[in-house]
Amino acid sequence: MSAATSDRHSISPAVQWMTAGLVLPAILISLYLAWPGHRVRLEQFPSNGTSHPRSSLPLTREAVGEGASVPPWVTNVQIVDLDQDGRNDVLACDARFDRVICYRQADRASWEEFVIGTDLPAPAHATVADLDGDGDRDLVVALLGQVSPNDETIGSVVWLENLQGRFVSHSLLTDVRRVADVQAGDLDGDGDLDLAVAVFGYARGEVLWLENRGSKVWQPHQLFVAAGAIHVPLADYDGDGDLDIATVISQDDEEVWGFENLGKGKFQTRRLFRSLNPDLGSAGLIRADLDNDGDQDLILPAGDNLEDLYSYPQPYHGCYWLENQGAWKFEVRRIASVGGTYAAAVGDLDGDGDQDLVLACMFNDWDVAGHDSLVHLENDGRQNFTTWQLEERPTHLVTVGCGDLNGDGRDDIVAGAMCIAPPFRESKGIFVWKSGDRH
Amino acid sequence: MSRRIPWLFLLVIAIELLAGISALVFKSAPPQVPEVNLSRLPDSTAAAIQQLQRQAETGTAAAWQELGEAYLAYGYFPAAEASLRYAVTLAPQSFSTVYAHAYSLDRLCRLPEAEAQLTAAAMLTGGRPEGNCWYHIGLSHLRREDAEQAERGFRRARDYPPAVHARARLMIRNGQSAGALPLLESLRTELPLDIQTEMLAVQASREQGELIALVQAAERAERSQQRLSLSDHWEYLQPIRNRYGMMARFARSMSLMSEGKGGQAADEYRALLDSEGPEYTDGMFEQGARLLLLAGQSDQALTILTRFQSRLSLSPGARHLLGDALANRHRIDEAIAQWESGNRLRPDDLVYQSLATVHRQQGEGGRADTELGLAALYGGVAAYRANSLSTAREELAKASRIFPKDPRPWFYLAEIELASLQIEKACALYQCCLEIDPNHGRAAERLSILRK
Repeated sequence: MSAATSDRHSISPAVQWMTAGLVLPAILISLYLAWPGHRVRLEQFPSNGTSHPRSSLPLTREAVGEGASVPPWVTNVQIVDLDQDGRNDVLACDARFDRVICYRQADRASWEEFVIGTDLPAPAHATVADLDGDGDRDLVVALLGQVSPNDETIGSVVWLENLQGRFVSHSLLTDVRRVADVQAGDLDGDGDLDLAVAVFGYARGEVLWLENRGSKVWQPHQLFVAAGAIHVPLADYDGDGDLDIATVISQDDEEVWGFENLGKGKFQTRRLFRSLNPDLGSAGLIRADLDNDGDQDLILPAGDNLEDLYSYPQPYHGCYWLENQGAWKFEVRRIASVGGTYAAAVGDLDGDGDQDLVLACMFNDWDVAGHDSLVHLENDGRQNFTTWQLEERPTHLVTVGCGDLNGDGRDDIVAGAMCIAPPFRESKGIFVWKSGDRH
Repeated sequence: MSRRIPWLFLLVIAIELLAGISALVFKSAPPQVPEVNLSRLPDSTAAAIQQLQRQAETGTAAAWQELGEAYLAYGYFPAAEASLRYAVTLAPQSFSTVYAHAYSLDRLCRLPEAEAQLTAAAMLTGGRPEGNCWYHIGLSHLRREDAEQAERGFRRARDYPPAVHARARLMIRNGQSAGALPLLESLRTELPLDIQTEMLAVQASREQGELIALVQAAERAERSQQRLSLSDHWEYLQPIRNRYGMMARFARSMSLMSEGKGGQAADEYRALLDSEGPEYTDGMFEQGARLLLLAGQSDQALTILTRFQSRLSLSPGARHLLGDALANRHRIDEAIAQWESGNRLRPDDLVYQSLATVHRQQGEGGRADTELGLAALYGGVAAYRANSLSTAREELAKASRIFPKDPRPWFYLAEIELASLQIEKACALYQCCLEIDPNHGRAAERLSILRK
């Protein structure tokens, strides 16, 4: 190739520098601007929701009662034989429709709804007791007045007197804040039934006992001033032959208190447990002899996160066992870690002779499938508990009870849902799990 | 020269290409927006959050912060934390961004990380007082059951009232109630008649065995109107929720109401109730009905109340409103039934006044007088609880004249004297109460303690 030919095919220096200095940079800059770049995925912390291995208990689930077009607000369920026909029923408090209902087992396969009382604003708990000593089962109902936070004196206690199957309402206590629980027992040793009352309130609250003065007269006595009393389980905690009172305080302070019965209506206040953690979420208190040693222990479910609309499970949620050591000493053991635990019940679910537990979850991380809504704590007989998942739905369970529904001698389960925050997936609020074939 | 130029040209081209490709390869882009399941939210709120997700694609710190805050307010905590963590990388000096990130870590119970971010936020300060950050650091240590570190955090918050309250509470728990008293007094000076302070004073008195101080603190708590907020979940998160979708419409309606534009507020609220899913609006209809009544739209209020009545049990307040709406439509007998039904569940002095008016118009003077007496009783108790003692005294005295055998006016008249530190007068009135009802537990207890 001659030099002239080579010059003819070569690019002129001006073009070369134009290309290097302007054209290529312009192309590259345009490409850069048009190129979206690499979109990295932000790392997220794993969900705090809990899930456990599936239980192998043979249980059959069924819904009780009709569904409604409104998310259910069932605040309490129990298995009791209210009508004393030898078959256990399901007793429920419904804060959506302000009523107390008994679901009778017409036979072992179907339920008959019997509305015991209406116009009972936000019933939180109904306690079966023969308050007038006439041999039938009455109900004493704790009324919040409304479910949502409120610090006004809107609570009350109502006695639904059983008059041959018809229940007549009598007001026992008014001018108090939201009442979360009422329990009956002879607290002053005079042979009739008195009442212990948990006035949850909101920022203000108290624990009372109502002395039965006869002739349907009840005298209130204040035991304790604090907001957030949830339950008042009665038992002879110190084994001295009379009934004592326990309570859990859950607003601002997270504490369990005992009221030792000194006789003649006098009580001595004793702190049994406290947590510094203001976010522990104490959600209730039940009594049971969990270790079968003859004294009454206390069980504290924790996981109430109602401080905000959208709750989230925390690692300290679960269940605490306050083992009664005698002389008002209780040793605290954490026996389960379950997100958003709201209620506990004791029963021998596997028929091995020891006491198991069922925990119900109001809050877990429901955005993620597989998280616990109902769990079984299997007792190995030495109070070592293994947690098994019974259900991941229905969600929002706030109340649970155990008892034999199908007469097979083994405890069944009832639970109720209160869907106050989304996801609103459940239209029915009450479910039972009967021992038998697996669903 | 002409032979050397192509080589140099090629070298320059090669370098430019290398640099360009490297820039393309390493070009950083905003990360993928964390996805969440929006199906549990009302449609309008979900749409608003989807808009925030698209906005975050622009990659600005503000867009990521807003997305993170929305996730936080609607309970998508892991996604909120990730979004806010990224926002902090873009705006490390922004107090609100760092604080929001700390908040998300706190909700996830990532406590050491939350404390570190709160410390960083405290250094920046901004819209919130520094004390707020240290208070939350103290709370975080309490969640770890570490009282010593918690106390240190609260001390650094200095005179931030919730932190002062927390220090007093810790002292009382540790058996140092006497040491807590100056803190309680400082809170009383800062926040007179605060519920939380008085309830804590009850605890301190109980620990010290000071029964009279306990009674006085409990009585003050009854008249307290303000409540020191110890947890700011609601205060912090609700304004964020109010920016989007359904809650934005709710907030707009409230804002119109506060501007005195009742008609527009009611229209907005009614549209909200009509368009959003009932499971989300079940808790809002009562306020909507109240707004409509205030705006003079009784028919619309009646429609809404009737619609919700078929879905769920009406609260006492909703029954009162239904009575008002019916009365406005001249359906007086139905109105009376609703008012009485509401009052059976939750007595209300204003409703008793309405009942008195209609009974008077119907020529039933005796019933009207009774209703007025009840209005005086419940109005008096409400005035006492609102610390309007002279009004309360007047109303309760009236009630005691109409119902001389009712112990309640006497009990509250005694409480007023106790509040005024007129102990002898209080004792005399508790005694009056007990003469009418010897089983009045509260009067008996008060008297027993005061006489000791």
